[in-house]
Amino acid sequence: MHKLKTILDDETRISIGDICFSLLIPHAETLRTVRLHYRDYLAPDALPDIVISVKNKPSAEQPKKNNIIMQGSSWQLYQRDGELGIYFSHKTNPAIAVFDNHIGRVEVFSSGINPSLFLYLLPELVLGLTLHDYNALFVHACGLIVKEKGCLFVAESGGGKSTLARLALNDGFTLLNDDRIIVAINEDMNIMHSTPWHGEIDYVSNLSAHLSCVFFLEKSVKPYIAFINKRDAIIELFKNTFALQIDTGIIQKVLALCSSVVSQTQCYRLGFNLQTSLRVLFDEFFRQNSKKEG
Amino acid sequence: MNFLGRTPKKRDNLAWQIINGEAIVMILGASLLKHTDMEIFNETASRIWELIDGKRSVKNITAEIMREYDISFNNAHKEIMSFLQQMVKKDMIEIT
Repeated sequence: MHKLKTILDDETRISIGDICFSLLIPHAETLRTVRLHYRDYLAPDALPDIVISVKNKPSAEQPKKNNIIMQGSSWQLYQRDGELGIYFSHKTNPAIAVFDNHIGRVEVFSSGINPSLFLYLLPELVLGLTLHDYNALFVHACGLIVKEKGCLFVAESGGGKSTLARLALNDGFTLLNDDRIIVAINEDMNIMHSTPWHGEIDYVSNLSAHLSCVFFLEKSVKPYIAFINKRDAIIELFKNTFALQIDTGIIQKVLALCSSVVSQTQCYRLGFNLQTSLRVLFDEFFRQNSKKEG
Repeated sequence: MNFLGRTPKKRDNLAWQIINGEAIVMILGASLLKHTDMEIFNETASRIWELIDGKRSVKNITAEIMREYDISFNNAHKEIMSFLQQMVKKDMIEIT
């Protein structure tokens, strides 16, 4: 954790899933945009875990092919001469983010500022590289509070998370986020946290909840909730985490965290369609569950 | 070839977890766009996998499986060799 107690003028601090980012951006307009985007996550009094500072210097050249270890459509994670970094391709403002050894400090080099870099891509990638060190998972999931219980609904893209979120909102359930949830794993309880990065539902609430159930979504003609065995649950959860699996250490840690979540939480498959009344489905489900517990 | 004295060892690019006696093994890809393959073993294969620690020879592993599953040497050895051959083929272990 960094010892920057006093917040600086060109600094914004945000807290996502109890991880505090300090964003040092020496560009007033971009800073305003960032503060507006993360307005529900501002944490001026928190001590930073990760510092991202922007340097107004031209970025180095694009990494060579043999240095690239992973890439997405607009970014390349590379390693060269002991340096770990991400190159962001952009028409006018390419940038390079260079990490220190523990990924607690990130320096971003660019001759111009591309605000979108700070609104989702860079913080998400940093979390993908580091969240497991905080005993947490970054999950492709919808988070809801159903009958006062924190429920995670896991599915890949197109798997129905946003559809389920829409149905849930119609039924009066509390939505944390329809696409990305952080699950913090503790010995006695797991906590799910909303994040600022949503899917089709342009709505997030900066809420957290004790994680009670995990549901793996399936589209189904007939709605149902059925047990899933622990092995399959761990595999499905692992497949739907955003960890950047660049070495076996990360994979081992993420696998262990998935195993912890599944061992502490009831896991099910949930089949639903556009006509499903989630209220009816969950009323029956939790009623049956209480009977079993009683 | 007599493998009894040889020692199998897991490759470095693997991460694994045993869940209810079944092993889930993640294999980190070596290609430019790294991706992770996955293998899931049944209970017996998972136990053999656990016993592969780079120190136990095939003979040691066979003795352990014989003891734990109360089966003959031939049956244990056949099971282990079949598994090891698959693992070598998938480049998940090396045999020194």
